[in-house]
Amino acid sequence: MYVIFILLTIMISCVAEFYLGSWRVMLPFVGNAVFYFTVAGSWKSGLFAAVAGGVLLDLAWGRTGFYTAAALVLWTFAARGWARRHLETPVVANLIPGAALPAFLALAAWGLQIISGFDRPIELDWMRCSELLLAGIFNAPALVITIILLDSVAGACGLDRFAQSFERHKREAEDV
Amino acid sequence: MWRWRGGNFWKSGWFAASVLLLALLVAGSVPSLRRVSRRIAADFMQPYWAASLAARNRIASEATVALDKRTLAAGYESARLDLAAARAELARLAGVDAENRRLRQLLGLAPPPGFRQVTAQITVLDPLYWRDHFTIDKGSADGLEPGLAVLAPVMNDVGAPTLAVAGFIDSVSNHTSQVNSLFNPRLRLAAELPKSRTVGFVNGENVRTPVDNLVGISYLPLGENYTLGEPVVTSGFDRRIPANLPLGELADLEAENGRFDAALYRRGHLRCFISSPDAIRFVIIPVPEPPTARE
Repeated sequence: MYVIFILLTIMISCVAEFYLGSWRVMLPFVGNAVFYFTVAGSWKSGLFAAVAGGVLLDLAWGRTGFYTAAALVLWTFAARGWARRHLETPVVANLIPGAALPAFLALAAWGLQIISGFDRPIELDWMRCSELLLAGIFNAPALVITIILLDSVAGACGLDRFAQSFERHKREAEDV
Repeated sequence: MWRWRGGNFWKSGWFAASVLLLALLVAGSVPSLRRVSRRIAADFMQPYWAASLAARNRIASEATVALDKRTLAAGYESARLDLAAARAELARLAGVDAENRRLRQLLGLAPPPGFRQVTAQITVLDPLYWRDHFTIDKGSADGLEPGLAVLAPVMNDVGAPTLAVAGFIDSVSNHTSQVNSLFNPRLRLAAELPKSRTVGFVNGENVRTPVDNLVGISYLPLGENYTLGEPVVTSGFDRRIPANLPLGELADLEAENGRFDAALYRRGHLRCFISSPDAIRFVIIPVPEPPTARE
């Protein structure tokens, strides 16, 4: 059931990100979904969402390398790190990773392109910085809204919720 | 634990060799895997991407309906005049074409290649590589193939609409094609400067572009009289691409005789007529026709 939930969410996020991307609006909906599944579920579900969503986006945009997938995999680690420290904070605190996500993904893709040398790195000029800043401003509330929306769907379906993840992670840690 | 020749397989050299072989196999098959999966993804997802296009067209159509009568009438009149001018030009060109064929026949030359025009719309623009490539909604089912030129309308110096090269098709699936724009450094092509009667190569070297709408042009012969602003067109070396399609104009050129210059060629920059794919909505692709179909 959870896998279907992940796949459906990734599919919808991909289409939404793709539509807006074609209008030059960089809102990383897939990254938001990956963040949600990493925190609400487990790192494995986050990794699965990152690979599936990233590969689909890279294929759809016709990019040479799977840099979005790789950047999203790195984002699962960052999301895991964030979750460990800030799970007790209110949902609104997730404005911070939401604002940082577009810049994180762009920088990760740029770094991977530089390291691999397989593809020409994306241009990080002033216009790109401005785009990323704008994307960060809009994505900050978008991540919080995504968490609330997906949590309500997960609650209705009886799946693991973001809001309960702190207790669950604590319990799992105690069990270990 | 898996035993292998009396030892632990997972710690043996055989395991390391197997992993290495598997990694090499995967690395070797990545390009073909990516090509196949991209084609599948492009065709499978095409209805979803087309939905975005349909919505955009609907909005544009509704916006037209919302215009007042005077604006609509003026637009209609303007379009009618443009159409009449295009028809007159077509009739003139048909005469030139017929004369050209007759002369070639008299000289015993093969007839010139014929082209049919396929119109398409841009469906996908990558926000990260905005100016490098884009996707159109026509593919191999419409006769498109990699290497064909993609033209887009642009206003010339006197404000009349004309066509210029926006890019070249890189890969096709059944219903979509990916186009590399002139700004994509992976796209390299021969370009002719008819005024100075020379040929150079667009993106022939990785010349750094000082301004956004410039691309490098290199391997221009020495000792020629170049004029800044002179047109740069397709060379016609590839029979699938019509000759004399406008690419842009010569924006700048390196000095020829520097004190210690031992260069064998000159290089400069080309100012593209199509400065950004997001300014384009429709594109036209000249698809070569087999000689038998036309003759």
